[in-house]
Amino acid sequence: MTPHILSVRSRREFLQRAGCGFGALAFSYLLGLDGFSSRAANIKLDPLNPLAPRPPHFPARAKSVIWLFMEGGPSHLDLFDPKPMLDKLAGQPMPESFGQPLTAMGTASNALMPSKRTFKQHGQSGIWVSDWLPRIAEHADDLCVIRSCWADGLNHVGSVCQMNTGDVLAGRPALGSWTTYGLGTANQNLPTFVIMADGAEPVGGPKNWSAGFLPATFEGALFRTDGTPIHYLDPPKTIGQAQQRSKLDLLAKLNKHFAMDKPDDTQLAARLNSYELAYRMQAAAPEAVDLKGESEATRKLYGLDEKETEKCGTICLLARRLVERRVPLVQCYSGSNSGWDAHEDLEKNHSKLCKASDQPLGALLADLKARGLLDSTLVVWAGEFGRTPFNEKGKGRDHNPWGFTIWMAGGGVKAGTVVGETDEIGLRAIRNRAHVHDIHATILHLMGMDHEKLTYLHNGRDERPTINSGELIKEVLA
Amino acid sequence: MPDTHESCPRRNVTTSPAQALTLLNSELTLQWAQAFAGRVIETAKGHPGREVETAFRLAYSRPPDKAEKRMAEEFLESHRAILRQRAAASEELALPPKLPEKYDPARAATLVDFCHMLMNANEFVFIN
Repeated sequence: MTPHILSVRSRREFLQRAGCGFGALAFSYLLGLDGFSSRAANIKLDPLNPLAPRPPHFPARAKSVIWLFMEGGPSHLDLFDPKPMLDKLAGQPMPESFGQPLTAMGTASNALMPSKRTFKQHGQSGIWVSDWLPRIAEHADDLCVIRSCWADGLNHVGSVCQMNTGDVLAGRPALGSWTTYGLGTANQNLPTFVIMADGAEPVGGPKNWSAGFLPATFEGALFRTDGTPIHYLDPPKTIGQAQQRSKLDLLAKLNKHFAMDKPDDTQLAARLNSYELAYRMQAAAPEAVDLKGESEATRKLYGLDEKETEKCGTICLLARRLVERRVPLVQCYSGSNSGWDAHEDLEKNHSKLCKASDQPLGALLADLKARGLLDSTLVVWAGEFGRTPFNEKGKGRDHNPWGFTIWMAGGGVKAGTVVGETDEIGLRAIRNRAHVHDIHATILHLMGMDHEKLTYLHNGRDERPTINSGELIKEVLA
Repeated sequence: MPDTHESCPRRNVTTSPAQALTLLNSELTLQWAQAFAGRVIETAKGHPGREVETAFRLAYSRPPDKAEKRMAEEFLESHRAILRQRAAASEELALPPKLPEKYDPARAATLVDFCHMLMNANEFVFIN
């Protein structure tokens, strides 16, 4: 950057400029007293080790987050938010008082469709869960069900992107990138933000775990679940172990020699460090994802012995292993690539996905609890939106970003509670409305960060994870 | 990798293990190194003493200094021993696409690895 300096042409001009400057100094001091300017430049990255652990803004309740992403939009109306009114109005169009929302497939004039599921209250908390999720229902007293979520996007790519980055337009950093930017990591041998999917790549792909304008170090790493988890972790088969070490030693010598007359160049040192991290990962990552050490009982618990549950079970079990190794944020996609998108046949679609995910997710909660990890791990279950009370093509439901359900469990979450509600037919959130930004602010809060103070100067603006809004959902906190 | 869709006046940290791993372990960069070593052998016209200098000139547009020459020679010797063992165990070597007759394959594979590291080194990756 070129400093912008204009020469002073007169004594009057000097005093005028200096005067304003001094005034600004005093003003910024006063702002600082009020806590207004305290958020500027609050994170100092060590250029040599940008992943070094950094203190949170306040004590964290959750050290790690496991984000269970039900991709495609699971139906809150058939899982967590029963609406008896839909039985009464079955087959009729939506009452006029609800207006005409603009839906993805233009279905707002279609008849209302009641749920075919049986809902029951579970645990001491009496939280309603449908018969599609019996294993998760066993943990009702651990859940905080937020029934009043809403988002901005109508379609999948934008909405998945918003759930991950805060914006329907791609380009901003993912929440996982923000958290590692804020906190660094306790485990320097593994990636800090890991994404796993039970099927094809999530819609929108790497934009959903991009570091955006944050340093590239904070980008998420997509783990493959077959063979080696990280791309290029191992050298090609023509290069042996001793050969690789010998090459790296030469490289270190070349780099050290090159840096000798450039002692202040942190870029060079950082790059040296990234090779060392890559080498350490080569050893640590295969161990972290090796399920051979897991007992038969654990494998069975996660459903690895059944074809339907094997894929989701594998990524859930891997998530527990990564959290044990202090990876700060792990995302597991269930139904990746819009699996939960039940436009045509809700019963068929959700039966399959609930069967695939219920056992593994229930197992994950039980396993985390048994190992004493649930207190320090925040588990989030969410899709990018919910589904409409009116039908699509007779048996399906359309996208609903105006009202849907997510739940949280574990680290710092008020267990056995229901927060917020949707209207009588479950179309819109009406009480304690929780926008995606509010959800993000709450997750960050549980990790010990104030979403307004977690900023990064980008193109002249202190950017933050929640853009310009977001409020803590206090009802979620224990 | 940094997000190139988003313009940025300055990035204070751009290095990540993913970059290092790609440059270090991908088949593609190894293929580059194989082609590079082939060119070095061809340019040095069978004078092994000239290969290190040729490689430095091709990669960095400058000859190696004394310390670098020594480093290179030490590496070529110790590394070739590792590759001889691999060759003796009939393990596949990464070789240049074309080799002059009677050129020792272990020697050629050593040069490939040397060229590969020249391309991974900071001097190659950073614009000064």
